[in-house]
Amino acid sequence: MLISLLISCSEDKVAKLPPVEERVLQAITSLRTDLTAPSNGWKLEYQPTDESGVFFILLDFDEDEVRIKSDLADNDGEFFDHILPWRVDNALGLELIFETYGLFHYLFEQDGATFGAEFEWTFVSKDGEKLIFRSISDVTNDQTNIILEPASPGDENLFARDIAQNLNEFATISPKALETPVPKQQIILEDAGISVFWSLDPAKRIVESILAGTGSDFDDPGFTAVVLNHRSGYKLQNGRLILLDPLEFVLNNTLYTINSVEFSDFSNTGPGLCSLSVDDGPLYEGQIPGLGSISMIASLFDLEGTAFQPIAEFPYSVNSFFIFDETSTSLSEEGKIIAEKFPDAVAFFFYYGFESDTQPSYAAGFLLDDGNGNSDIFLREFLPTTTSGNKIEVILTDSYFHSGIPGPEDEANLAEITDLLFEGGEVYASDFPVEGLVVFKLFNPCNQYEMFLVQ
Amino acid sequence: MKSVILFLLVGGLFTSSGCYDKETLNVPVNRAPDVIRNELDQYIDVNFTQDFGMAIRYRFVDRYVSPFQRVTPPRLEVVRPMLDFIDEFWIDPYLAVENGETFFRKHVPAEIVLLGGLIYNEDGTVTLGTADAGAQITFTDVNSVDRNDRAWILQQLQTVYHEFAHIVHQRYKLPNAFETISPQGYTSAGAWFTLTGDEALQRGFVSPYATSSPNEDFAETVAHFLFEENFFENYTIPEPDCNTPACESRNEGRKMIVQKLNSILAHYEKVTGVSLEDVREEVQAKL
Repeated sequence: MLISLLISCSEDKVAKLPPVEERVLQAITSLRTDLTAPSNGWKLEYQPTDESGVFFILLDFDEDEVRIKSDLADNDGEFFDHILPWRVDNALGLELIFETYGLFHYLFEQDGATFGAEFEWTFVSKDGEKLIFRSISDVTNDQTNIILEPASPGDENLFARDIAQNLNEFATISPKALETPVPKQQIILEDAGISVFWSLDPAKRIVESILAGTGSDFDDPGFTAVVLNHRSGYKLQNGRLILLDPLEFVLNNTLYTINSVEFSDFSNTGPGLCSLSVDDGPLYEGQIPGLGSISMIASLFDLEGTAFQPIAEFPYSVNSFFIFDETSTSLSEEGKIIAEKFPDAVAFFFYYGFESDTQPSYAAGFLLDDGNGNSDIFLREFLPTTTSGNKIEVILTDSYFHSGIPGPEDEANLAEITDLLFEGGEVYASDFPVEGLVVFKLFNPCNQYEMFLVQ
Repeated sequence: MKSVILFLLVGGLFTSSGCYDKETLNVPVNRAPDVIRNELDQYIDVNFTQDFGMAIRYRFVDRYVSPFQRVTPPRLEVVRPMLDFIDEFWIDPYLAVENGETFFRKHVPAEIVLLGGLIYNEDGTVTLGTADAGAQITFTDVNSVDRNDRAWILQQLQTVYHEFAHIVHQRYKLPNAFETISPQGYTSAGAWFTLTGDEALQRGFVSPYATSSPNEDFAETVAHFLFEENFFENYTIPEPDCNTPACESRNEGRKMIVQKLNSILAHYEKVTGVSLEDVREEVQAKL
C-alpha cells in the first residue's frame, strides 16, 4: 500500500498536473469560450420551481456582456430585451453570475425573494452541444437545473410577447394592498355555454382555476358551478397559453378538458368592473382546442370572499390604518382624508346585518377616541343588502348614527369619506389569510380603494 | 491489526501532506468584480477609489451579505445616479465644513456596497442598510433611486448617516456617560420593533430602533439630527399646554434627547473637530 501511495506521488504525475491557479484559469476560460461560442446564442426554457410555469429565454454572451431576451412583460417590457455584465467565477465552484439586475433577479425577488428563482449558477456538465448548470441562489435546497441549447436564427419568433403584454393588462384591476396583485379572469366558453373563473400570475406563470359554472353571469339564479381547485404552471408559445398540467372537470355530466388557450384579438372593450364605467375592460378573444370560441374578461370573483356574509352578533371592524387608496397608501397617513377629517379615528366599522336595539344594522363609520378616555361611534347607514357571490352592494343613505355629540362638520366629513370608499355602490370581498383571524378585504373597482375587515 | 492501522494512518498522512509543494492555499480566485471593465468602473476608480480609497461594489458577489440574506445587485443604469447622490448628500456636506474633509478621508469606509432591492432575512424581516465595523456600508433599494422621492432620499440618508456615525463611537467610544441618560429606556434584544415612535419618544429616544442599545441610540440620534428637517420640533422643543400624561411623558423624553444631542455635538467637536450642526446645515440646504 505504501508503495502504491508513493507511486501516486511520483514526479511524472506532478509534472503533468499544472498548478491550481492555472487550472482555475483554464476552467474559467473554457466555460467562457463555450458560452460565447454559438453564433445565435443560447435558448433556455426556464422553470424556476416545479410549481411555476416556464419562461422562454434567449441569451447571447460576448466578452463582457450578455444580451437576454425573454417573454416576461412585467415592468413595461423591461425584460423583453436587456444587456447585463456577466462573469464566470470560481469562488464557490465554477459559477455563472449575472452581475447586475435583470430578468433573473426580478424573478428571484418575487414574494420577498422566497419564490425560488435564481441568478447564480454552478456549471455541472457539457452534454454534446448543451451546457447544464445548477442553481445556487435558491431559498431552499430545491435546486433548479437549466439546460442551455444553441439557439437557431428563427427562435426569436417563438416569443409570445404580445400575449404576455395583453395578459398583464388584466393586472391593473385587482387588490394589491399588502399583497402581490394576482389578476383574475372569467373565461366564457361561448360554444359550450359555460364559464371558468381563474387567477393568473404573470410573474410566476401560474394559473389557479377556481370555479366552473353554467352560463356567463354569476348573478344568474340558474347558475350552477363546480369548484375546481386546480393549479398549473403555464408557458406562452406560438400564440398560445399552454397549461403544463391540463385542467379537467365535469360540469352537468359533461367532461371538459383545457390544455391550452389560443388567443387572437385583444381590446379594451370588455365589461368594466366598476358599475359607473362604460365597457372599457380588457377583452381577449380566442379559442380552446376542442371547446370552441372563448372570451376572456376581467373578474373579481374570489371563492373565499363568498364567506363574507351578514353577521348579527357583531360588526366587522379594523384598525383605521388598514384602509388604503389606489396607491396602497393608508388613508390614515398624514395628509390623507381620514387623518384630516377624523384624526381621532382608531377603528373602522362595517355593520353588516348587526342586530342591536340602539345601533343601525347596516352602516359604516369610525370609532373615535380623543386619547383621554372619551370614545364615540359615528356611522353612516346604507340600505340592507346581502352578498351576491362575493359582491356587496352598498347604497349609502343620509341617515347617521352618533353615540356622542356630533361636531358641526362630522356628518359632512363622514359623508365625504364613505362616498369615496363606496363610490359606485359595489365592493368585492376576498379573504386575506392571517393566522388565527378571519380577515376579509373589500375592494372597490371604481377607485381601487381597499378596506380590510376582521370578523 | 494495530500495525496495519498505524501503517494506513502513516500512508494517509503522507498523501495528505501534498504532492505539490509549490502550491499555496492562497489561490487567487476570480478577481473580475474588481477589474475596470467599462466607463463606469473608470469613473469609480478615479472619483472614489483613488480619491478616497473607497471601493464601490455594484456587481454581485456573495460575500457582501451573510449566507442567510437574500439580495440582488442594482440595475447597471442606476449606479451612476446613486453615486452622484452619495457624493452630494454624504460626502459633500462633510467636505464643506471645517475639519470635515480630514475627518471624512480618515474615517471613510473601505467599501460601499450597492444592492438593488432590500435585504430579505431568513426570519421574514427586511434590512434597510448595514455597516460592518466601519469597513463597509451597504445601501439597499438602489434600484428605486429617485431624486424626487423624498421618502427614498430620507431612507438612504438615514442609512448612511447612521452607519457613518457608528464609525465614530467605534473609534472614539461613546460620549462620556451617554448610556446613563436614559438607562431605563433600552429594550431587550430584538424587542425594539414592538414600540411605536411615540413610545420611543416618551422613553427619550428619536426612534424605536434607537432603544436597542446605546450604540444604536448614538447612531440614530446623529442620523435623525442630520437628515430630519423638523428634528427640533419633533424631539427637543417641549409641546406647549401639556395636560395629559402622554404629553408630559413626551416632554420628559425630549429633555433626555436634548441631553444626548448636546453630549454628541460636544463629542464630535472634541474627537473629530467637526461641528455636526454645520454638517446638518449643509445637508438641510440640499433637501
